This record gives sequence, C-alpha cells and structure tokens, in this order.
Amino acid sequence: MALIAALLPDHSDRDNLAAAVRPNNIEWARDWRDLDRLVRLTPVRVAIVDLHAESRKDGVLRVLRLSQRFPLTPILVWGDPDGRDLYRLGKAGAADVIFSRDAGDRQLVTELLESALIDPLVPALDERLRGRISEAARSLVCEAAARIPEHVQVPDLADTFRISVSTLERRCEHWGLPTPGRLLLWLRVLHGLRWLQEPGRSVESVAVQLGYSSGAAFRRAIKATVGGRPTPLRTPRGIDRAMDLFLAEIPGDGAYRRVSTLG
Amino acid sequence: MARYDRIAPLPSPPRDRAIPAWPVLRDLEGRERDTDLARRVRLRFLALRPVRRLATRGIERVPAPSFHRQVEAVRAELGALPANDPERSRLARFLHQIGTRTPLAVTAATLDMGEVLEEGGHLYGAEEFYRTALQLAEAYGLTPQRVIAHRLLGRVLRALRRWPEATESYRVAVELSRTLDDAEQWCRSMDGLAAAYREEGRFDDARRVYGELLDRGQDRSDALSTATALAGLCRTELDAGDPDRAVELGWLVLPRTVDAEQRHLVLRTLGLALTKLGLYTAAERCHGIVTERTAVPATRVQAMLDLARVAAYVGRSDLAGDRLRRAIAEAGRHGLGRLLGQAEELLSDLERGAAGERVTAPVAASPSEQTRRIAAEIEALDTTLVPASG
Repeated sequence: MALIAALLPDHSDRDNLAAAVRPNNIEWARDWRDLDRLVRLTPVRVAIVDLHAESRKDGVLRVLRLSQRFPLTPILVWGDPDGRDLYRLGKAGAADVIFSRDAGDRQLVTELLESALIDPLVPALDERLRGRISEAARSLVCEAAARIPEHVQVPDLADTFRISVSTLERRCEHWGLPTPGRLLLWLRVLHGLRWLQEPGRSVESVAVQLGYSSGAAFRRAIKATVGGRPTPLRTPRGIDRAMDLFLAEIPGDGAYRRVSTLG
Repeated sequence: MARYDRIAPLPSPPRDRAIPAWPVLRDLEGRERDTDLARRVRLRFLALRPVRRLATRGIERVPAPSFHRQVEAVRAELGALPANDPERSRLARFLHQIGTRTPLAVTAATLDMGEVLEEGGHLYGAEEFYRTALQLAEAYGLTPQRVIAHRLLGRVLRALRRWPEATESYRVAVELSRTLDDAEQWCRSMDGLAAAYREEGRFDDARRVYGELLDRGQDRSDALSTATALAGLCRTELDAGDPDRAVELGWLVLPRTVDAEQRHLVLRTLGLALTKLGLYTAAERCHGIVTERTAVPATRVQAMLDLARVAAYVGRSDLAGDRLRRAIAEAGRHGLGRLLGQAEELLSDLERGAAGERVTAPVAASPSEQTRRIAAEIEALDTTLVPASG
C-alpha cells in the first residue's frame, strides 16, 4: 500500500527518498495534478513535493491548495527554498522541509518522515482506552488501528501476535473487546471518518482507501456502527461522536477495571 | 513571481503546528521582498533546526555523525553573508557551541543567540530561540537556565505587546528563582513582571510588585532589590502620569544604583519626566550624560533619540536632525533594527515639518517646587560624579 505520495522529478532525490523508506511504500506522482489524484484515491499518509517540479508554477501556492484540500495530510517540501519561500511555506501549511544538503543523510530524512507519519488516530485511541482495558488489549487495538491503511484483516492481526484466529477471538472476549471482525470494522470507520474531514476526499475515494468495493459498502459500514449517513459526520464533532459510540461497545476487562479502581 | 502574493496575508500557524523553527522566519513579516533580511532569517532558521532536533528527540537519540553533518551543512551556507558581517561570525560561534552537544552548552548558546536577535529588533526570532532553549532546559532539568529562558521570553513578549503571556512567563521565572534561592534572578524576574504590568497600564499591580521587591530589599539590606524597586517605581509614576513623583523617586534612587547601566536607566527616566514638565535643560543634561557614558550601544542610541526629541521640542530642528543622523549611523553600525526604525521615522517627521506628537512638545505640566530644585541640581551635575559604565 502506498503511504507516501512523492512529486520528485529529480532522480537523485528519488533515490535518496527510496533509501530512507521502503520503496514499495512510495507512489510517484508525475505532476501536481497527479499528486492530488494520488492523495485523493490512495491511503496516502504524507505527501512529499519539490517546489520546482513544474516550471512556471508557484510551488508554494500549489502546496497551499493541496493543504487546503487535504489539511490532515502532512506535506513535506524537498529542496532548497529561499528565505521568502520558507516563510510562505509555513503559511501555506507545509509540515516540514527536507533540504537538499541533508537529503543524503538517511538518518535525518527518516526522522523527518517518522514524525510526519505519526497517525493521530492511534494516540487518540490509546488515550481514550487508558484505564478502560488492560495494556495488552490496548496494544492490540492500537496495532490494528495503525494497520488499517494497509487493509489489515483478522488473520493478519492474529499473525502479528503469533496466535490463531480462534485465540484472538477468545482474547478479545476475555479483554472485553468486540470480536476481531467488529473491531476492524469500527477502526475502518473511524479512519474513514477522519479522512472524510478533508474536503478533497469523497466517500467513494475513502471507501477505496479502506479497501471497500464501493462507496455503498462504506456507507453500510457506517450505518452498522455509528448509524446514519456519512455526510453529517464530516466534522470534528462527528468523529468525537463516533469515538464515543465505539468506546460504548468496549465494556473492558472486568478484572482489570476492578484492579484499576482499587489501585 | 506573482505581483500580489496570496500567501503572505494568510494568518501564521500556531507554533505547535508550524514547521519546526518556522517562527524565526516571521521577522520577515511585512518585508517579504527584503532579500538581505530573507537571507538572514533563512540562516537563523537553518541554524536553529539542529537544536530543535536535539530538543524534540533528545540528545542521546540523535546520532552524533548525523547531527554534525547537519551543522556542517549550515556552516557551509554562512558564506551567503559578507565575510565581515557581525551576524556571520555570531552564527559561526553558535554552531561551534552547539557542536559540543552538552545540554548546558547548547541551551546557553541558544539563549545567547536569542539575545543577539532581540537586540537587533528581530523579536520573533528571539522568541523562537528562547522557546527552544527553554524546551531543552526543561528536558534536561536545567533549572537556572529555565529561569533565564522564562525571563528573557517575558522580555521579548513584552516587546511584542503580548502581556498575558509575558506576565505568565515572568511569574514562572519568579517562582523558579524563589525555589533556587537565587536573589539576583528573583529580583530581575520581579522587575520584569512589574514592567509588564506597567506597560500594560496596570499601574497598581506594578506598584504592588515593586513594593514587594522594596520590602525584601530593605528587610535583607539587599541593595540590588532596593535600587531596582525604586527605579521601577520611578518609571511607573512617570507612565501613570505623575512626572513630579517620578523626578522625586529618580533623584532618590540615583545615588543608590548598583551599576552604571541601572544609573543610566534612571537618568533616562528622569530625563523623560523632566521633558514632560518642560524642564528641557535638565532633561538634556540627563540624556547627554547617558550618551557620553554608556558602554551599551542600544542605550546610547536610545539616549541620542531622546536628545533629538528634546531639541525638536525646543524648536532646534537642525540640531535634532543632526542628532538623529548620528543616531541612525550608530544604530546601523550595531544592527539595532528597532531603534534604527524609530530614528528614521522621527527624522522623516522632522524633515517633512510634520506637527505630529513625535516632534511637537507635549503640553508641559507645571513642575512642583521640589522638582524645580532637583532640576537645578541636575543642570549643575558634574559628569565626574556620574561614573562611566563598564
């Protein structure tokens, strides 16, 4: 699955980026229009752009437009912007800059990408689940949430923890979590609702990103979890409501809660 | 390049959502086409990024070779400034100091660099350097540096007229210095807190803080606290609209000042108060002494501006113009951007013959008998009685 969409015409820049991340995690864009399409249609977590990718186009203005359409997708700028462009990039909503001089430093590039790749849904879930379920149960939910963009399925999740699907189901029951299938359904919906906060994304494109066969299938998933249609949920309040409903389905591990209360 | 930039008028992002170290670039605000400044702010931004990296990830988690490569890449860009440019050597020294990678040295170097920027009137840059230093000091438990960072941050926030943030920063500095039992830092933090209140127009709060400082000074026979409190009260009374009381307090504190720069500060306040009362000869004497005696370029330029104003008020426009031109040259030589701007505006008003409040004498209040007596003593003041600084 593509996690990074990059608009880097220069081959040495591409090589440097590919050296810092797994090459199969990068989707190369041909131009600004193609970059927009990639972010809209694939589960892109970060966009990386060269301001001079297209001649006679104000790269900073393109960054602004991209950030307005996809405000939750960090945009990293690659190159050597001058002082004025750096100032404008900050206002245009760029997340960070990878300077050409630093591009050969794999460690530094990886660090910059890592901080941009942090999925805010995972720490938010972790925070809300703290004290409600055991640490092991939380780590299962967070792992599952982090891998939703990769279209993780129940057997993949079981493999990650080196247990069988049946054991995973038993553990979920013991920890007071929904069944693994229902858990992934919820996490897909929460991810989808987060992506839907971005004006540049449609229900159909988010459905594709989540691995649904169509927009209608994603709508059905929303109906089966949060209830209702996706449009009224395209606000921060909508995602909060969905999170509350998700937590309401997690009774938690009784023993753990008793210990927490006593402790 | 588009003739009308659609991006520059956009609001600035909050610090926690901006590119790391980006606030340094905000000194370009309103001067986006100033190529020299753009070059400078870019270098400051690049220089601060390695420190931001250490502060965010932790020194132990940043591999030394990668860090040194990043620093070297910035050093290689210093050639964008002329060889004799003071900022170039200052940045080179900063990069050398952070190369040590010890929390104390990096924090101290970042605070120093922030002060350099603040002196040049680049307040956003200074604020960002101070905030980064503070982040490091907090991460590594460097409480004395936290006090200094909070105090300096308070000062720059005062200059940016962000009063609630400034007072909060000073309050933290006061509390921390109290826990450290560091009398000097406590006194300076209290002075800053009161100054923030005063500049915000909360004169009673300012008097209360100075009162506390004065009590402590008298209880412990602490000359610094006593003098700082009296000097601050003098300025507070001036700003609160009681120049007679300011003159009285200023005259009282002058012989008790603990160092030359504090003495010059009091003399300046006295000069301003006397100007408000129309006692121009005595005012000129005060500002003249500061101009001759101070070793601090910013204080000297400020005094030259004050002298120029007095000359303008008494109708000696030629003399005022000469003084301003000298002030401009001096400010330019030392890179004092804020004062340079003030001097240029004042000169421009003077040359246009404008009757703005900057060059027209305010309506003088009638001085009290005691103030007249003090003014006479100041006019007769022998400069040998006012020691030079340094």
